[in-house]
Amino acid sequence: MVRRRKETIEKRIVHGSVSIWQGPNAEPRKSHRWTVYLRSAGDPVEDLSPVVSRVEFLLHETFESPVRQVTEPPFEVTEYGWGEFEVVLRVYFADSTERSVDLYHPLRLFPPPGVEQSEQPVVSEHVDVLMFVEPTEKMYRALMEHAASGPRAMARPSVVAPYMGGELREVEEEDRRRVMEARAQIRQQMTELQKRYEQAVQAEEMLRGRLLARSKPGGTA
Amino acid sequence: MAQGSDSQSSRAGSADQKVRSATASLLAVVQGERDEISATTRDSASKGVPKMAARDTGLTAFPLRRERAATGSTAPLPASTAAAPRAPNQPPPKLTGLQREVYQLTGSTAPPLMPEFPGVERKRAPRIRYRIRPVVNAAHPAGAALSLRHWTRVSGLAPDTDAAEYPFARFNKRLRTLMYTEEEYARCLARVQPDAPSEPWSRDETDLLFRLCERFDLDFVVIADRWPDRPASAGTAPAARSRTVNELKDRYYTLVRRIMEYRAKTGAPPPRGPLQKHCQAILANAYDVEYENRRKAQLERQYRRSNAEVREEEQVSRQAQEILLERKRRDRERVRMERLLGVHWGEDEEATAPAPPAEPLEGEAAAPERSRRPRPAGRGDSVPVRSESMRRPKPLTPGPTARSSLMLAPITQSQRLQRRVDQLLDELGVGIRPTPTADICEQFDALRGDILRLLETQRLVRRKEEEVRQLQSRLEGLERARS
Repeated sequence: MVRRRKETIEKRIVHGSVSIWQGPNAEPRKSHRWTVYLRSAGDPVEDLSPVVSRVEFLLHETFESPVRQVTEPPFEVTEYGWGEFEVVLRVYFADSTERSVDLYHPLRLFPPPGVEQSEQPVVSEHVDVLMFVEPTEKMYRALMEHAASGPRAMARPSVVAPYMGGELREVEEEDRRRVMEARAQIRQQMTELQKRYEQAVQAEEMLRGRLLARSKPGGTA
Repeated sequence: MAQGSDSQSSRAGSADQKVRSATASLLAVVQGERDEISATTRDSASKGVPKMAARDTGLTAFPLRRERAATGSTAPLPASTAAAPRAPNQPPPKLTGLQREVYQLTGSTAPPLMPEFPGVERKRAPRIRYRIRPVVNAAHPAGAALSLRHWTRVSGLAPDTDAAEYPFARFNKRLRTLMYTEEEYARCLARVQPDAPSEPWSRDETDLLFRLCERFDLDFVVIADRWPDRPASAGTAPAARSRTVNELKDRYYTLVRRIMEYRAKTGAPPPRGPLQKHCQAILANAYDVEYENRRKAQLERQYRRSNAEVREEEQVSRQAQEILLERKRRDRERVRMERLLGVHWGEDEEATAPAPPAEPLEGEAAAPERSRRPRPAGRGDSVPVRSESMRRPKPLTPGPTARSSLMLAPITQSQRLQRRVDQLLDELGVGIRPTPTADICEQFDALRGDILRLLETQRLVRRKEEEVRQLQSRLEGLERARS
């Protein structure tokens, strides 16, 4: 197996889920209809099949046949359910000698706290980056061809295509801003801690000096 | 009739038979009894133990005899099954029922009632004899003139009456010391005198010293003891002045040294044997009388301390040790703090050489064990220096990888700490999995490292503040006690 040395190709992908509440009269164990999927991070969504050969969806064990194989795009699974859990998407690639990659998608059925339950679909998408580190020749060719051919529309669009969030660049920007802000905050806290520490050291020295002065002249008295 | 007589004769025959068998059985019993008796006597005679012990087959014999009594004379038993001991090669007796069981359990080697011992052959040690005999002690200065007697072992072969050699005389090794000649003394030793505080040595004194050295095997304590302190007669010049052990030693060693040097110069043959070793040792190790005096004075002072002084000294040294330990601990803590904060409070040299804070923090325990590298610049300032990249990126194994998995990998070994980090990430609004682009990933890792450092710093600061509080309360307690 020949690998292309010192080469890493990155591919942005999105794993997401769309959940639609089935209304108050639905069967309690089937209160939501959800779809979990793997898609490219392009806008419009492009066909991933030249790179990804198949996706295994590992659902909660209580589902009937919890391992779902999807070999054709769109790579998605639609189910009825009532609870949230973590779906594992095991992605297999065009070159079968490459190992598979696990993506962990927290399935979300309920709107964020504070928002009323409604028929509005709950969309939860996460961008991830697949890094093909020193890919095999076959994999490399598949990736190159996929990139060169330009965005290729899906032969059969996803059932939840209208809810998908596109490239999610703004989410990325938001995340970056948050991380940077958090770092600034931590830095500030560190400065405060430093001040506290310095004060404590000063106080300690002063107290030690006074204790020494107190215990010296009289000895034990 | 014939039939009847036949039957009668047969009856009579049977009766006859009965009688005959009865006599036979009686005979057999008697015979058996006799056999038994003879066996016991034989046994007891051969083994030399009481009769009781000889009945080693008593267990099997007893029920047999009881049975015999019950059946009477009608059922004679063969004599061989009676208690008579079997010959060693004879097959085991045919037994039935309980007897067989017992026999199987005990065999013919039933435990004897009395212990038996094979005769122990005792070897007689040859007699050692001692006799008082005259002994010549070659080590004694009087030699054969001194008649002594001693208990001596006699070999037994030839009783010799000559005086025996005293066996321990060979351990009497005399030390030979160096002696100067008249010429040597005049040439080089006459002017050799000690420094000011001790008095000068005369020729007589020197002679006496060397004689005593020879006599007492250089045991200077004994020599000093025998040293004549005062002049023998008043009015004349003192034969010897009072000398300390150190002075005696100094004089002897100095003179030997001088003699050796002089002889080496004049080309006289050096001494041989043990004396050579002795002289060489003196040449190799200079005797410093000043130092010895001081050392002895010091020891003397130490020995003369009172109990209270000893206690006080111990206390002081203990306190000093405690203070040193405390200072060391504080220094360590400060170094750790500097590393965490990325600052430098330049104080003393040895404790403050923090490593650059660029290394990752692997939990609490890893923090103090860090390689120390001196920082090139920025000594004494407290400008925060922080590194941006927390982790050196590990080379990824070939193959596809989701970058989010790098973010989900734990940053510390401690699960408790990891939970705190995740919790803080949530509180900061970052969450544990932001979009994993390359730069965010790097920043995120740095952030996690920052958080770990923050948690550690918090812990240390809290501890310090607690210490301050304790000191405060101690001080207040003291003040209250005073007022």
